[in-house]
Amino acid sequence: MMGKSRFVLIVAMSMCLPVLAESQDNLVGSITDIKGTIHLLRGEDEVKAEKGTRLYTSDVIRTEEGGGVGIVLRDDTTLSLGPSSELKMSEFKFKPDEGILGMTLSIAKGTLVYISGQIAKLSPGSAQIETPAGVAAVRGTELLVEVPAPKKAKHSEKTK
Amino acid sequence: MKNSNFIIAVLLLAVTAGCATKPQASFYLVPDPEGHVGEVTVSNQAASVTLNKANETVAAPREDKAFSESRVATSEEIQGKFADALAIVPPPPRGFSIYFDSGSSNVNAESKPILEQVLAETRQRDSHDISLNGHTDRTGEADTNMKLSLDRANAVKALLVEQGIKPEYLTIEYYGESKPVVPTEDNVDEPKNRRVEVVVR
Repeated sequence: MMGKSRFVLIVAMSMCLPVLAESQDNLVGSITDIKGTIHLLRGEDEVKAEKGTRLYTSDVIRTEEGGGVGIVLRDDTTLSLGPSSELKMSEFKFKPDEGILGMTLSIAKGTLVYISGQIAKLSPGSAQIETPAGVAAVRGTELLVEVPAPKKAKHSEKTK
Repeated sequence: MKNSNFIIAVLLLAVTAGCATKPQASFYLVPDPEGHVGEVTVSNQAASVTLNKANETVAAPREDKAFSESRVATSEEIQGKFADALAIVPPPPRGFSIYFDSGSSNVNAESKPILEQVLAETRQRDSHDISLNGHTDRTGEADTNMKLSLDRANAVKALLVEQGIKPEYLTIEYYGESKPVVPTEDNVDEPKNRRVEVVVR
């Protein structure tokens, strides 16, 4: 069983073009700038976030009060978050040769600056920004999104 | 005194009332760094609205409630909300092409100055994320070219590392002859395809 699956893997890898030497398939981008305190959450773990830290699909970035972060994605999309913000790299598919293009960024709170890269240009509408109140489908542009911090827990409990 | 208390009370009420209908998300379409205004469609369970004017904005109160009427925001409003985020927007990634002698991983003479530009750009923005993507033309076997494209990317890496760029900042991909800039028949010598594409982020 092991032998067979390994064989399949080797065949699959040898058929796979382009060949990726050091990068991983789910690489999304990297952090280019940090202000104040930010947190990078990968699954259950918090990972050290600094300039140059690579970001992968499903990573969550949180900025604290007074914090901020600049991010460049593999398709040249540039992003930044203001203070008290949270963004998830929900989906990122960038294989222009195979026509596989798609990106979903989910902002839970705070402020986001989004400047389109190649995904939005090559496949208009397939770059999406999710918020708790609606989804923006972008066709090549710069977009600013604000999701105000949720009201105090007690208050929102009462209003429910 | 009584009057000012009353005014404060009214203001507080107004603020509280404002909070109750505070939108859960606001979207602002602004000109991109080249001044181009694109288009965005915002949708939720209740409605869908398209923004296509500079500084046009729309607010969404809830996932299942219709959007506010779209309007054009002032730059003061935009700065007020987004100044911190806008201050940390990364510079756009910059791409370079470095060309090679036929069948070799020697950077050709004309491309040496480009290498200097890559170094200058890397230092100027203190980049920690540089992609090196190796390519070949279609002279020779595809297998050999696959290896040659890796050798070329590694050659550029070595030259950058020699100049003090940390190896961990560099990411290599290689594609052999599969991604030509100028598509050709097999075994055609095409200088523009013998390249390493560099992206400094």
